[in-house]
Amino acid sequence: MKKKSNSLANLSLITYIGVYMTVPIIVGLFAGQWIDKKLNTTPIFLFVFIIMGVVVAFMNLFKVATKDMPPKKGK
Amino acid sequence: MEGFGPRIIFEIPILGGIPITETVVNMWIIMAILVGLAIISTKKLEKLPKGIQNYVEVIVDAMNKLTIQTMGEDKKSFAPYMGSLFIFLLVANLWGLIGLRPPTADLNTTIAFAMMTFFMIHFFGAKRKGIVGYLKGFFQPFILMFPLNVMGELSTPISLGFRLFGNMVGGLIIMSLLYAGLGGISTAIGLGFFPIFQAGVPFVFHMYFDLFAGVLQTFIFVMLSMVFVSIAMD
Repeated sequence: MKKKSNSLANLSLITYIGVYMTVPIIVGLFAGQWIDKKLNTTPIFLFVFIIMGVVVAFMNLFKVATKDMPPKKGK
Repeated sequence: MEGFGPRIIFEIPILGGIPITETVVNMWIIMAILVGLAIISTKKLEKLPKGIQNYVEVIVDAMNKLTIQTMGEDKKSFAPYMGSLFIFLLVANLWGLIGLRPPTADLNTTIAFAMMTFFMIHFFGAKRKGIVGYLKGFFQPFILMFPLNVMGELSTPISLGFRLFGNMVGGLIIMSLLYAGLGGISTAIGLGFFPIFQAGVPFVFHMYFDLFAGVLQTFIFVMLSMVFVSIAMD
């Protein structure tokens, strides 16, 4: 199916990038803190989840940026 | 000075008291207005539109066109939901213009709408791709990515809800502070009984924070809902 890129949709996505990038990191921070408090393992999970958040933030950006590109065959 | 959270208007005395806040009451008023308008404008539908039917047809046409343009011809059936979302959020965001608290300046409202988008993304994604294909998407590009993919999906409704909430509550706080400050200036020059500065000066700020930001955020919210649902379905 051919999909033409839509300038309004892309403009909305651009304004969204900032929030989309910070939210996973902040969610990771709070999730890590919460699990650490439950299991008494400060600060292992805090670091793990923050690093996961950073990776997820990058993945989200990548997904938004490559939205209109045709999917690659294989790897 | 009290905080900026929504005030509790009254409590429903069941289950230990359910607090009804300003947000809920304002939402009821908006719902009543919109439902009333919908009933009035569709009561006598005619082939050649007259009066209010003209305006309603323009709105419906515009929403249909926008949905087709953004999501594609095959997802035209989303237009009624997206249109309702658009009209409701528009009225809710502009609610500050008449001096009441916009319902969208409450995280409960915005997260509820974001959750609706979230469930639509996953329901229609699973429906279009089949359960297996949908679940397989979480293990792309390799199996260790599963927690990261889940976290990425969960961040969508949170960021959608928080950005609308943040914009609206930010405007609300600035406007409240501005009104308080202008009242203070009026008192300082001996006009405490008649706060003259509160008339006129906030106009520019209302234009920006309520009208401009409100319309823009409504548009962005609806646009992003469309984009995410159509990404999940392609």
